[in-house]
Amino acid sequence: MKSKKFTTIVLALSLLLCGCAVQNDAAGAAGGQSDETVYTASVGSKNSMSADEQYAELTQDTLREAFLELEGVKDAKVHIAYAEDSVEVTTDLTYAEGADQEKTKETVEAVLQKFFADDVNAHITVN
Amino acid sequence: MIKFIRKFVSILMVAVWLLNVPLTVFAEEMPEQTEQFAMKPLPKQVGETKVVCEDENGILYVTLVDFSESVTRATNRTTDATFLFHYKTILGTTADAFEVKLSCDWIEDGLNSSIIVLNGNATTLGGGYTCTWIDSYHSQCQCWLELDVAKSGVYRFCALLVPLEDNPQLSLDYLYFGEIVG
Repeated sequence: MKSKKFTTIVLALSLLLCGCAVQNDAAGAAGGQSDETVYTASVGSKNSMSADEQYAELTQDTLREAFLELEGVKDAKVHIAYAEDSVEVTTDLTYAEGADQEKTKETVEAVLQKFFADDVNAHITVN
Repeated sequence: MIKFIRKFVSILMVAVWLLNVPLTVFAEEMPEQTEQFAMKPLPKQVGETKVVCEDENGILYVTLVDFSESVTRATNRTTDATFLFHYKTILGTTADAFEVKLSCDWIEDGLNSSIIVLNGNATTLGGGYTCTWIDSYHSQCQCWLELDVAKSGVYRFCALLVPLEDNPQLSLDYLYFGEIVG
C-alpha cells in the first residue's frame, strides 16, 4: 500500500513537472521567432524634441565629459533646462592653471552654439 | 480510500504551490516595471554587460556584442554597435530578449561636424518581447530613436555628437523608461 502511494505521488509530481516543461517550451518556441524592425532618423525626419529631464541629464554628462578633454578645462558643470519652447544652457568652467580663459570660454561657447543650433530658443551662458 | 485521496490532494496542493513560483518565472521571463526611468550608459567595450532593470523574478541585462568605426570618405564616419538585451531569472535561467543594432553616419569636420543619419534595427529574440519603433528626433548634433518594447518599456537610443574642433566625439547611449512616455 505504501509503495502504491509513493508511486502515485511520484506520478503526480512527474505530471506537474512535464506540464512545466511543456509550458516553458511553448514560451521558448513562441519567443524563438525573430521579428525585425528597422527605423531611421535622418535629416528631414525631425520630430518634436522631447524636453525631458532625463534627456537633459544625459546631454549634460556627455557635454561635460567632452569639455574635460579640452586643454584649459580643469572641470566643467553643465546644466540644461528644457522649457516648452526654449532651452537654457549654463556652463560653469574651472580653468586649468595657465589656461587662456577667454579662448577656452569661446571654444566652449562655440561648441554649445553648434550643439544646440537646431533649438530655436537656446540661451547659452558660459561662466 | 478517502484518506488516500485526501492525502493525495494535500500533497498535490503543496506541490502546485511549491512549483508555482518557478513556473511563473519560466513562463514569463520578463521584468515587471520597477523603475519609471533611468539614464543608462550603454556598455562601451565589446563583451561588457550592464544592468537595464531588475525585478523580483530576475534581471534584464544589455551587452555590447559588436562595435566598429569605419571611414567611408575623407570626413565621413560610420559608427556601428550591436546591443543584446538578455534576461536572467533568479533561478539562473538565461534567455535572449531582443537585439538592437545602431548605425550612425556622421561627418567629422571640427566645429561643423554633424550627424547624417542614425539607423536602428531591432530584432525580437524571445521571452514575449516585441519591439516597435515609435519616435525619432534629428538635429545637427543630436539624434535619437525611441523603441517601445512590450512588457519592458520604452528605450530612447541617442547619438550625441560634441563638435570639438580637434576631436569631435560621438557617443551612443540610451534612456530607459519603464512605461510609454507622452
